[in-house]
Order: sequence, then structure tokens, then C-alpha cells
Amino acid sequence: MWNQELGSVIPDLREMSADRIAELGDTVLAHSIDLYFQRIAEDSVLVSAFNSNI
Amino acid sequence: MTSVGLEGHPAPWPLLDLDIAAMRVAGYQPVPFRQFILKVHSRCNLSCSYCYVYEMADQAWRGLPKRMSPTVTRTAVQRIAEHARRHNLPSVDIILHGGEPLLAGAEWLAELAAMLRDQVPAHVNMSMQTNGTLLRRPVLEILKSAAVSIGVSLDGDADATGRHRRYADGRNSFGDIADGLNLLASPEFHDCYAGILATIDVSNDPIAVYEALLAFRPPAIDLLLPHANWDEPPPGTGYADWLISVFERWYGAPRQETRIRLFSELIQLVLGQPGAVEGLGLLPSTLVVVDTDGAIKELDSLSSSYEGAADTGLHVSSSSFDDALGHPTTVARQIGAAALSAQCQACPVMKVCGGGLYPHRYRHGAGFRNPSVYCADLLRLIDHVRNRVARDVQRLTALGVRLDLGGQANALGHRPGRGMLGRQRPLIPAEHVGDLSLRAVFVSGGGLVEG
Repeated sequence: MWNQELGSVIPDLREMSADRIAELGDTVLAHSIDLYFQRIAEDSVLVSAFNSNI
Repeated sequence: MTSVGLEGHPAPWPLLDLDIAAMRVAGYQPVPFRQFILKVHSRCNLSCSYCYVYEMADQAWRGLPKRMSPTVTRTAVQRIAEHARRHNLPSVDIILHGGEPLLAGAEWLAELAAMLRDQVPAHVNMSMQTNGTLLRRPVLEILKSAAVSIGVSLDGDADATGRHRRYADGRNSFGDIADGLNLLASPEFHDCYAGILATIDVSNDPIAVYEALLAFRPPAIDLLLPHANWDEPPPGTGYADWLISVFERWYGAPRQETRIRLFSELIQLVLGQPGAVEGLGLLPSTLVVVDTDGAIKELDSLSSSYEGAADTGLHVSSSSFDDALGHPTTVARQIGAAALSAQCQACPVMKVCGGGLYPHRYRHGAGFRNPSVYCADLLRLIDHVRNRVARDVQRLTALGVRLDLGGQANALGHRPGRGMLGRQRPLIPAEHVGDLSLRAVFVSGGGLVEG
């Protein structure tokens, strides 16, 4: 994993306990983990959005 | 790909040195365009000091028609339809830009949206980036009926916005934008509300800026670094500190108050997913610009580097968008790590940073194969976000129970208040990314490699 090249290693999110995820409530990290799994499940490839538009 | 540029050429890389024929022989396949930026009106009712259209190197706007002509509009729509058909695109994103797109008239924009949806054999997502000063009820009613999502540019509170976003006579635009944003944020129009784009000024207090933007209840925010390059350095210093302050305020909130695209995508990259916004990561760019006169152009903000930097020499009347796929700048923006400097390729955060926004890499006489002029700030920001997220995730994984997601989408369920997350994911079918080996590289967040 590329992130192991960095100083801080990000664990595999699939190792997380569902109970611990639930503890996150509606926080930014909870949304980020949600998005992470959504993107893993996508059957397409992301492209980069135009940054001068939101 | 050592630079052998001609003396005096502003950007030998990629315009002279990128050997596209050799890349094609080696298996490179362009990724079809998916995002079409239509500069429907070339003028603006504001005179923002940092605008790359009017205030920077390229002054070509002076010779453009004010509004896209019926002939150019019709031809541009036909070209988009042709591209969608040829590449069997499931959807395209149409981004109405300018100048100020609302100067074209809301009804004219709605007619354009109808024409696109009628002729393009793909789902058409319509969005617009406006300065917000002309957003009034009749305009919003038309745009809502045309299903155009609306992004507004605003830099913070009245003082922050007034530093740069002024009318030509010097008046602060904040009051007019606030009126428009309050309408857009109301329940009647909130479905059309894409979010707010803010350009950073480090002399503004970062928390005050964030909270001023938050007051308009945006589904999403993005924070843009001012356009700069190695010849035109950024105004001021301290961009990493500024961004880290906002990140901590946003990330540390007990609930997600809005999405901040820069940080949200940065977290995805840190977690090992590709980031879905240009300026981070190594995903291929699939955007192309049609200027008001019908010229097919590269990334609009390249105009901040040198005059003509966004030009392709192509026009919708005589060229298809496939012709633009072979332009060196398009290729450079689709080949991921292969487009980066040796310094970037050796950097441990290369796959997260992706070399930064393409125009920010420019150096006269060398071109665009340099680190971002914001390299040091990006490195500090990435390091901070990575450490913050790593600490939290390590704490969460302490129990070590593996989730069986079974490949199901949304295995954790949708959370309330996700705002634009569901809509703002430009996707392309996997087959458009070339052969399987390249697909695997893109899916894992990497980029094409040389060789």
C-alpha cells in the first residue's frame, strides 16, 4: 500500500469494527469512511472534477 | 522526456517535448472528455482583482463576442452529442461558465439546457458557476425548472469578499451576493444549490471565512489557492497554516456541517482512494472548454500562466473534441505521474498531491513539468491531514473486527446531510480508461507510468 510509504500508516478500513464506526455519529470522519466504501463499491472509475466549479 | 525546448518557448513541456506518437505506440489511450465547460458569456459585471480571465496574462477576452452566437451554440451542442455518441458516454457534465454566465440571460441558459438534453445521447448534468450578484427569484425559478445546479463564488464575510470581489466602480459585491445566496439557500431553491467556491486570501482570518460561508448553509464548499506559478508567486505566505486552521475547525466539529471538497478528497486520497478533484491525486482530467467564440480550449485557468496557454488552435466548426484529445496539454493532464517532475516522482506524497493544480506548476521556458509553486504548503497540509486521520482510524481499528462488505454499495448506509456527495462524483465506465493494467492503476489511485 502506498500509504505505508508515509510516516503514518493508515490501517485497512475493512478491519474496523462496525460498532466503532457507529460511535462516529455524523462526524466528518464518519462521512469520509462512508464515501470510502461507496467508492470501493462503484463499478466505474472516478475522474477529477473541474475545480473552478462546485 | 528531457526538455529540449526551443529558446523562448514559454512551455516546451509538454508542447514540444511530449512524444505522443511514442506514447500511443506504448499503449496510451486518451480518456474521452466528460466535462464540457461552456463559456457562454465573455464579460463579467464584477472586476475581481485575482480573476484569471481579465486580470492575468491572457487578455484574449477583449476580442471575444459577448455572448455565444446561435451558430456556435448549436455547433457546440452537436459536437458534445457527437462525442457522447462516439464514446458511448452514459453521462456528461455541462458547466456554464464565463465571464458571468447569467449575463447571457436565464431564459437563454434554459434554452441551451433543453437543446443539450434533446440532442446529447447521454444523461446531461447541468451546472453553473456564478458570481451570485444576479441571482434573484425569477432567475432562480427558471434555472430550477431547467435543473441547473448553481455554484456561487464568495470569499467569506463582507470584509473578506470586499478585498477582491468588487464591481468596476469599486463597490463591494458582498451585499448582492448575500441576497442571492439567501434565496438559493431557502427551501424553495435549495435543491439547485451546489455550494460556494472561495479563493483564499491569507490576510483573512480562516475561521471567520469558514463560518461566514457556513452561514449560507452550503451543501459544499471549496477553498481555492489563488492562481500563481513560479514566475508569478502566490500573494503572501502561510497557505498551509491557513488551510490547517480551517481543516481543524471542520474536521473537529461534532457533526459534518458541510462538505469541504479539498479536504474531503484529501481524506479519500490518504485512505487510499483516488481523489476526485483536479489539483489533487493522479486521476485523468476529462474537461475541455468551449470559449464564447467557439474555440476549443484547454483548462481555462491556464490563462494565468501566459498568453495563449489554453489555446488548442481548434474550433467547434471544424474540429471534433476527439481532435482535442490529442493535444499535448490534454495528454499531459491525463497521464498521471508520467507528467510530473523528477522531484514530484520521488516525493512520498506524490500520489496524494498529484503535483498540484496544473497551472500552478508553470515556469517560463520550462513549462509545466515542475512541482507546484504551492509544493511546501501542500506537503504540510497533506502531512497534517494524514496524521490526523491516521490517529483516528488507528483508534477505531483497535478491536480488529473485519467488516464483510460483500461488494455492496453503501454497506454502511447513507448518512443524513451528505449534501453533494452523491451528485458530485463524475464517473466514467472502466473501459474508457484503457486496458486492464492501466485501469488497475487508476482504480488504485495511481497514474500512468512511463515505459
